[in-house]
Amino acid sequence: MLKYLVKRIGTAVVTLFVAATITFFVMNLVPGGPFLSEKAPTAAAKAAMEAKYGLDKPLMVQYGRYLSGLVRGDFGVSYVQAKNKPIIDIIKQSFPVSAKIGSVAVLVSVLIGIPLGCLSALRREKWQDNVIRVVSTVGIAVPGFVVATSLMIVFAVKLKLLPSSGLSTAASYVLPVITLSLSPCSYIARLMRSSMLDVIGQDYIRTARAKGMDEFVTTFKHALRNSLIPVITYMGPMIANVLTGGFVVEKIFNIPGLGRYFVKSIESRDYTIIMGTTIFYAAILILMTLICDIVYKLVDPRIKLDA
Amino acid sequence: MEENKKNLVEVKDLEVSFFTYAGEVKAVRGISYELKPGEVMGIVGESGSGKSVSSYGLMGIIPSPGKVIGGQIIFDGQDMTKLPEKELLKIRGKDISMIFQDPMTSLNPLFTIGNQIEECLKKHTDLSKEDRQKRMVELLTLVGINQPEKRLKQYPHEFSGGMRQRVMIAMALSCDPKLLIADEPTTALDVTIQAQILELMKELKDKIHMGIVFITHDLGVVSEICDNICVMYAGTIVEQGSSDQIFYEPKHPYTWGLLASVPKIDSDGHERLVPIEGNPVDLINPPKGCPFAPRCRYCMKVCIDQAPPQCTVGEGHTAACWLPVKEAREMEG
Repeated sequence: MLKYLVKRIGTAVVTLFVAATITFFVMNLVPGGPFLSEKAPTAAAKAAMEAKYGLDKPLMVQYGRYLSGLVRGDFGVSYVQAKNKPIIDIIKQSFPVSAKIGSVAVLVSVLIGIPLGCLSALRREKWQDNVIRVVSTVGIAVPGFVVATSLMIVFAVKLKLLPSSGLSTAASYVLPVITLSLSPCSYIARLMRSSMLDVIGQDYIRTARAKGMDEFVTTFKHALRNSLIPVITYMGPMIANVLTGGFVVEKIFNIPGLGRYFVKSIESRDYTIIMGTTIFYAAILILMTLICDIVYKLVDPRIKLDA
Repeated sequence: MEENKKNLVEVKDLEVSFFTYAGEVKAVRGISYELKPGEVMGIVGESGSGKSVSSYGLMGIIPSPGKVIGGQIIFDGQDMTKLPEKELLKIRGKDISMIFQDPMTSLNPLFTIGNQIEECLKKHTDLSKEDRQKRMVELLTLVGINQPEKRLKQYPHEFSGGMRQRVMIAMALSCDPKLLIADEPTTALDVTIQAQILELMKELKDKIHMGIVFITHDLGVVSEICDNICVMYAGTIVEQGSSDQIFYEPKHPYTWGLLASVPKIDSDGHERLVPIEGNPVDLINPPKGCPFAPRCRYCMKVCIDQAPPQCTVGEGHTAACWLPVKEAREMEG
C-alpha cells in the first residue's frame, strides 16, 4: 500500500509538471497581456510594469523562473485582479468558499442520484422510470447558466423566497447548490440505472434469489455494491470539478469562490492566477482520482493496488 | 414399501411462457413428472428445450418476462405456483436449493464465501453465530475443501472453478434441503473436475437423503447418477423412464438420436458420431403435430398433423410418439 502511494505521488508530480508546462506556453500564445485594458497605459508605464514582474524577459527565462518558484511553493503574485496579492493567499481565501458549496452539492448529488438510479432500474419501464429518465436527461442537457438564471428569476425575483446572491445565510446556499448538483445528480442517476440493470441480470443475483433472499437484501446487499463501481469512476473528476467551484455558478450568484477568480483571470490575462488555479485544480483532480482508486479497492476485493 | 412413499415433487401439465416483443415463446408446454424423496431425476435435452426453465418454475424464480401459465407444481404437498412470494422465500434455499451451471459467475464477487453461506443459514435457521461457523466448517469439509476456516474468509476470485462449484454445493446443502436442483452443474467445468464434482454429488446423494433434479445435456453424466430420466424436446417431455429403460430400451426417435450422438469409449475407432440433422422448432408457433417430426427419420403423415399420444411402452416408461401405436403404423402402410 505504501509503495503504491509513493508511486502514485511520483506520477502525480510528473503530471502536475506537464500540466503546468502546457498551461504556461498555451497561455502565453494567446494574444494580449495583463496590462492591456480599455484605458491603455502609456508605453513607458506598461514597460515598467512588465519589468517589475519580469514579463520583459524571454519566455524560457520566465518559464524557468516560474518553475523554480513553484518548487519552493511560491505561486507568484497577482498582476491585475488583486494587486500583488500572493496567489497562495487567494487560493486559501477562495477555495474554502467554493469547497463549502461544492461539498454540499456533491452530497446532494449522491444522496439523490443513487436512490433515483436504483428506483429507475427496479421499476424499469414503469412510470417512475420514465419520469426519472426524462428529468435526468433534461438535467444533463440544460446548461448551468440557464438553470441558474431560471432559478434566480423564479425563486429570487418573482417569488422572493431566496436570496439571489452572496452566501450570507443558509438560504442563500439553496440556489447555487441546486444549480451545481443538477447535472452530476442526473448523471449519477443514469449511470446507476444502467449499471444496476446490468448487475440485476448477473448469475449471482439469481443465486441470491435462489437462496431465499428477499427483494431488499438482493437489491441492497448483492446488487447495490456491485453497481456502484461505474459511479465511483465518475465521482472522482466530478468531485474535483464541483469542489473547485462552478465557474458559471459562482459568477452568476456572485460567490467569492475559486471559480470566479479563474474566469476573471482569463479575461484579464492575470497569468499567475491562471497558472495557480490550473495547477491547483490539477492537484485536486489527481488527489480525487487517487481516492477513487483506493475506494475501488475497498468496494471490490478483486482489485489489487500494488501493481 | 417403495410404493407407499409419498411423492416429493409432482409436476402436472406445467406450462411456462416468455412474453417477449416477438411474441409468446412457449418454453415449456405441458410437462409432468414425479420425484420421490431420495431419488435422482435426470432431465436431458438440448439447449432451449425448456429443461432449465421448468426447474426455475419449481423454485418460483422464472426470470422476467417468463410466467407459469398453466399446470401445477406440488412440492411437499403445496402448490408452488399458487404460494405467495413470502412463503416461497421460506422454501427457497431451505427446502429446495439449487446449484447453477457457471460457478465462475454464480457467486457474488464482493463478499467472502463465508458471508454468502452464512446468509443462507441466518435466513433459514436459528443457529447462533458460533453454531453457524461450526456448520459452515462442517459443510466445506463435506464438499472436500481443505482448510475450511481459512477458506471461509476468502473471496470467490481466490477459488478455482471446481472449488467454486463445491462452495455452491455447500451453500445449497447448508439448510438440509429436501430437494436439490442441479442445473447443468458440470457443464462449465473441465472433464477431470467434472468427474470430481459428479463423484461428490453421488457421495452426497447417499449420505444425505434428498431428492435431486439433475438437469443436463450430457447423457454420460445422466447415466452416472440418475434413477429416472425425462428426455425433453421443444418444451415437452418426449420420453420418460428409468435410467436403464432410457439407455437400453429407448423408444423415441429423439432419444435414439441423442444416444447415437454420444461418443463411445469402447467403439472400434471407425464408428462415426451421428448428429441429429436439422434445427429445433420455433417455440413462438409450435407445430400442431410432433415437434420432432421435421427432424425425424421415421416421420409418418400422422406425426405432422396430430400431436403424439403418451404411449406406455414399459413399466413406468412412456414415450410421446406415434411409432408404438399400431394403427398409426398400419395407416402409413
